[in-house]
Amino acid sequence: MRKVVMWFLVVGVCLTSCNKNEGGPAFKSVLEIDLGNISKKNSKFSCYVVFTNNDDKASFKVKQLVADLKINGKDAGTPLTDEAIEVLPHSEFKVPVHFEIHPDDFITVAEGENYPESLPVKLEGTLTLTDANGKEVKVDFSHEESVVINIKKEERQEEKEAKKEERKAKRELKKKEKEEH
Amino acid sequence: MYVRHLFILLLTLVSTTAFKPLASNISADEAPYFVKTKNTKLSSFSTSKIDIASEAVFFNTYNVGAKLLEVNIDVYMDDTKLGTVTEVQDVKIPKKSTFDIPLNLSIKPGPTALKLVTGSAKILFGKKVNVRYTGYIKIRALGMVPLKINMDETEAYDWDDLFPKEEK
Repeated sequence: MRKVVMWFLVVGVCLTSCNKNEGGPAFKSVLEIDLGNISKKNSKFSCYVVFTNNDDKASFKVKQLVADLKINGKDAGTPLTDEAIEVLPHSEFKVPVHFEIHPDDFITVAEGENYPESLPVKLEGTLTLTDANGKEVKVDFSHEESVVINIKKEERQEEKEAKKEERKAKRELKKKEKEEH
Repeated sequence: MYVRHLFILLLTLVSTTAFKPLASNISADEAPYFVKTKNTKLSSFSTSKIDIASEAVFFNTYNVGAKLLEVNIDVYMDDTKLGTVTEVQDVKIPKKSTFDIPLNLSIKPGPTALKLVTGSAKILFGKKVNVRYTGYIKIRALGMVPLKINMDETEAYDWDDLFPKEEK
């Protein structure tokens, strides 16, 4: 009887240890969601979709990420990223998402009224990868969170960037003038 | 004769250098392509009119914006042709980005509508109906000849998909 129990235990341990290496890429989270300056006609949405490759041996290549973006419960577009990213075995990788959104599609603020402090954002889509043999692997993901709107902060950031570009242009102009002399 | 050849050579050189920046902006590994359909629903369903609305998502791989020139997409429900979407709407096609083409089809009473009603009656019993969009759109990127992008997609929808509840 003891022998039989021992055998069962050995087989059980073997099977569970074998399962450890199973499983390929999986969705982890969405980071740094930014709606940009939504007080303007066009705004820049950006975020990082984070995945993990749980496979200890297989490496992959990101082919495409397509997601439906809903802001404030309304359709705000379908961001698509086709940046080729190498995914190493047993690693974490981030897929950047940049997309131009039109705030009129999802929010209406009357004159004199303030924008809400935050808006619900939902990103739902599929990541397509290819393995070493060229076989496609698809990972579905869905993420929802309330994103804080900070229009003043965005405006300050835009001003900063504008000044930076102005300074850069001035420097280049001076450089050219020096070269001419 | 020698001068003529030299002139042609110079002309070729000048034209290739002049158009190089434009060509490099447009060139991409892939031509623009169809991605998927979304938001398919029966926007109105009555004895006098049936409206089917959907959006086709395409990806502009070029580094320049484009203009929508033509839409020609046939709509089928369970092998019954409902009609063809041809309306060209004012759609902004940004560079290196996706763009949505609205596909709105209005069906008036007639044999097609009757088939559609009987066919779609099965969704009342929890079954799914297949909606197929097949055809093409034509776009023109800056300085390019019009480009045809094909699409052919069939999706199965149930009651909840075709009559979605409004999200608050």
